Amino acid sequence: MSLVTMENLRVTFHTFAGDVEVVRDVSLKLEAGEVLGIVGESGCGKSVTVQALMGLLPRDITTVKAEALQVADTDCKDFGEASWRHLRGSSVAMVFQDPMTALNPILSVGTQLIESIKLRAKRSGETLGDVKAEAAALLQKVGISDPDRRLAQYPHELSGGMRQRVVIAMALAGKPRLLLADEPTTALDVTTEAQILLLLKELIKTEHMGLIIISHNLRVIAQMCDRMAVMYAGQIVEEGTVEALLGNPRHPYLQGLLQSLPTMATTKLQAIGGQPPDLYSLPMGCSFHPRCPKAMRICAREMPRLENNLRCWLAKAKITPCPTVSGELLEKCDAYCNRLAAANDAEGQSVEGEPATATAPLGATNNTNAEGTVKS
Amino acid sequence: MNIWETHDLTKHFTVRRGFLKQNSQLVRALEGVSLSQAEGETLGLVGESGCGKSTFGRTLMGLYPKTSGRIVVAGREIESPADQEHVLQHIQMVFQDPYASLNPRMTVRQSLLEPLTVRTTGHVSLSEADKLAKVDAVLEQVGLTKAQGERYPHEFSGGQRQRIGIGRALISEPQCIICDEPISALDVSIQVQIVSLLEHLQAERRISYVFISHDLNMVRYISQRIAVMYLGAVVEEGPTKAVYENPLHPYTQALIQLNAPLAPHMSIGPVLAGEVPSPLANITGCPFASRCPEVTSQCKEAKPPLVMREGRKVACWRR
Amino acid sequence: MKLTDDFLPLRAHGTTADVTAEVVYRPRPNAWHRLKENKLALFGLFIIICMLLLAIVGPWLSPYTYADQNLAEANQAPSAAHWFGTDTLGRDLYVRVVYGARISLAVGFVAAAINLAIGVIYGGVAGFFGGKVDRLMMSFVDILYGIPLLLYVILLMVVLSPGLTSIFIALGIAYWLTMARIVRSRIVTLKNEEYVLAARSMGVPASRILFRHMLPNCVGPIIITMTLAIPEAIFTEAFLSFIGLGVSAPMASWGVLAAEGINSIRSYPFQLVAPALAIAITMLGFTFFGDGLRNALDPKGEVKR
Repeated sequence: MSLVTMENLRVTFHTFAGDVEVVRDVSLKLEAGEVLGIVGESGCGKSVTVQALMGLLPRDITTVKAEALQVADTDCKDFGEASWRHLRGSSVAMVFQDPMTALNPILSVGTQLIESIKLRAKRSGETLGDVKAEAAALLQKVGISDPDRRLAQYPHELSGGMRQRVVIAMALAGKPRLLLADEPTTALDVTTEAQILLLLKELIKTEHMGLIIISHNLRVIAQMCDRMAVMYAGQIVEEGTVEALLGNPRHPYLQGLLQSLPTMATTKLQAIGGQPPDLYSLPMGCSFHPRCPKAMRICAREMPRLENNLRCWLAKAKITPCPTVSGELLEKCDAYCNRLAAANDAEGQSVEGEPATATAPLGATNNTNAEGTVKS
Repeated sequence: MNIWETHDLTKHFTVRRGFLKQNSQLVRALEGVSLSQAEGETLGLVGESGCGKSTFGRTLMGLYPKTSGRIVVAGREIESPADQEHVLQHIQMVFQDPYASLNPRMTVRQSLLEPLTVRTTGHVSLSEADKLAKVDAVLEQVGLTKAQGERYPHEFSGGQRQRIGIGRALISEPQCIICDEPISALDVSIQVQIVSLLEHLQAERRISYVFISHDLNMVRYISQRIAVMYLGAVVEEGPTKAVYENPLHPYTQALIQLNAPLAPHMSIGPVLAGEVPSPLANITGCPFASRCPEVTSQCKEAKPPLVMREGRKVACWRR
Repeated sequence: MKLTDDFLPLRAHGTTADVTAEVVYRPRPNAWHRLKENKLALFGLFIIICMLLLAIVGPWLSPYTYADQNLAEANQAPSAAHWFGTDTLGRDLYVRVVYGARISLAVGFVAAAINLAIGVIYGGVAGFFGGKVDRLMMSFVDILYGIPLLLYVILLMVVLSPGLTSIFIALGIAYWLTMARIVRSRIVTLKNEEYVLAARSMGVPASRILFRHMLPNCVGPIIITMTLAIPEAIFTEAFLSFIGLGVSAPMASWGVLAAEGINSIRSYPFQLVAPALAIAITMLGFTFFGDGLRNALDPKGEVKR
């Protein structure tokens, strides 16, 4: 059985401006020992999705619906607050973005760690051994040297990287099977980030945990994850292995994101146009279509379904603005498409000419024949 | 001619500690930074948080009084607060957080108009109508409409707010704009829009930028010259191409490797030992010695000078 | 043709969406919208408005005045002629309560005005200049805080005679302190805001930064403090009048009326009921409204609670 099974999660926030659906139809699966990354812009619903996995969303202002929600062999679909609390302390733990706010500033590191250990023991009914030794062992595990001295220190006496290590140690205190990390390194410097990522990666191996890591930083995802999901406006738009998604992105949003990162060879950056969507008034059809350079007419009208791990009408289109085509071929293709568009604007005129690429039909009904002439 | 120069610019902050604030300690935010900028050039300033890159920008602009050293702006020595007006004519600033850097109770037009209203030199001769026309022109240049000028900041997305911030800096017609982490608070898809806008304005007006950022890839893309800072001091400075292709300082090498371009199979690292020392510490040797993989006994004894090596300046005993 | 339409480019192929293409963001609810959602706050506002109206037009609705004595009609229970009954001197209680509302509300609003005039400027200046100025100015506030209100009211009474003027002066000394503290702490926070730094980086002079950039952004806390200071002032006045340090006869504030009602509580309890209810209802009104405002003006309060 999977460590996490989430099917068609929907989360609605009730605000003064009205109800707003921030997560729409998100399904996730995670096996033990696997690392899943969720990327997306701020407000795309990635944090909310993960908070729903831990029952952290405030009940009075949100409605959470899912067809299935199983975390660590427990069906949590109809969980109340008490059941969630039990699960949070034992099977699932979270590492937050800001290590300073995740620690209580007036309690020493040791006190906080020991509290977590005691809570776990209380839940599982095990008899406690030497809690202090266990706390020290936890600190050692997260790479903190001289643990006995550190246990007596307070959060403000530690550096940012050290604090994040303590937060991770506290998460480990409950012996979780699933670790959730919400932007775990965003508040840290790049040199410290490498240390923390390395630590997390090792812990996944040694503790055989599952890890879901949220980040807006594609590099973190590429370094850490086996699989990744790209979210836009509350939906997963593409999902798959990291190699597949970074090597051969299919969704125009992901393609645009990858082009937004300058590399050695970049001479002119290609921006994704437009502004992020307003969740309160999403456009008709595909949420990304107003910014999509490859938008088609259907995109403005109908929401594509997530099929084959991709939520995009291009998968159904016969003539694809194919990213692998280049040079003269691409120009021909573009010219053809432009003529098609112009013809369509003039309504009903047939277009002469050859499409440069006629890809195999992907099952869509389409009366463009093999030569690409459109019959009216 | 250089738009601005700093010579041995030093900035120390005093923090008071203890119950009655009786113990004061020095935070060495800038330790003898000498940099300059030519017209139309983009200077990238990179480093980790607390390395002094933002402090440098703010001290150069006169937002923080300098502790010692010299600042020369457009050929004039900046000595007293009275020279501030001269600095502001030539240098303006774009801030990091587009949500916090605009007054929420002023419309976009009011925000843009303010620099023209308060300045005592330069634009004094402009009539009210001229000023408004100028605001409209700037709005258009940064990609906003006249109608949007009547709106309040909260009605815009982060990227649009940063455009307003750039417009506000632009309206004084400075020769140099200090961009203090202008894109780090924005979504990736919007970052490129802002960088493209900056490039476009530079091509049109020959503005120089000081581009402060921790995103090394973006800095490489936009700047011609780069200065790497660590603990308040410049450790390597030179033409972007030379520094990126053949970094000499071990810290620069680590930073560049850590910011390696995205690839499907990426390993984590290199991992530098430890963390940046506290700026409260009084370090006698090389500031990077505690983390340097190539450290020698000499590094711990004396601070290496910034010297010319292979077409760039570097502060390292081993080079 | 219709079927293929679906897969034709939406825009000319190869062009990206307009970089500045506008997303129409649905306007977020402002403070007033949020206030409207809060029924209790609206009820509070309704009470306040009713009280104000009553204080203004109330006395004209009755043929009596607050000083008219008619011993033949003393201690009458509420009736059609005397809605709230009469007191031991045969004065109409309705008119006296409504007239008392004038005095009580006047006291409240004077306190608010003092809050605004002295507190905001004092706190603003202290916070803005910081350092020694701040320490000196706020120490003065702390000292004033340390003196019990009753003490200097009684001292004032020795110098002046008991009456409305001395109450105003007493409130004047006491009621700007909280405001000064709140505005000062808010200004200190605002000093670190990037837009204030941005204003400095554009060469905006200090006074303009304070009045144009900082104080307008303190409006929320200022309004809240004011609405909560008004009922406090009204209550203080009632309390001072009750113990005999307030307005003098035949003028009547709610406190005076309550004190008179207490004397005959055994035989004529209705004499206490009317002024006590008036005080209680007004206090509730202001408190509901103030709490509602506090929630509505909280910038983080976009989510319904």
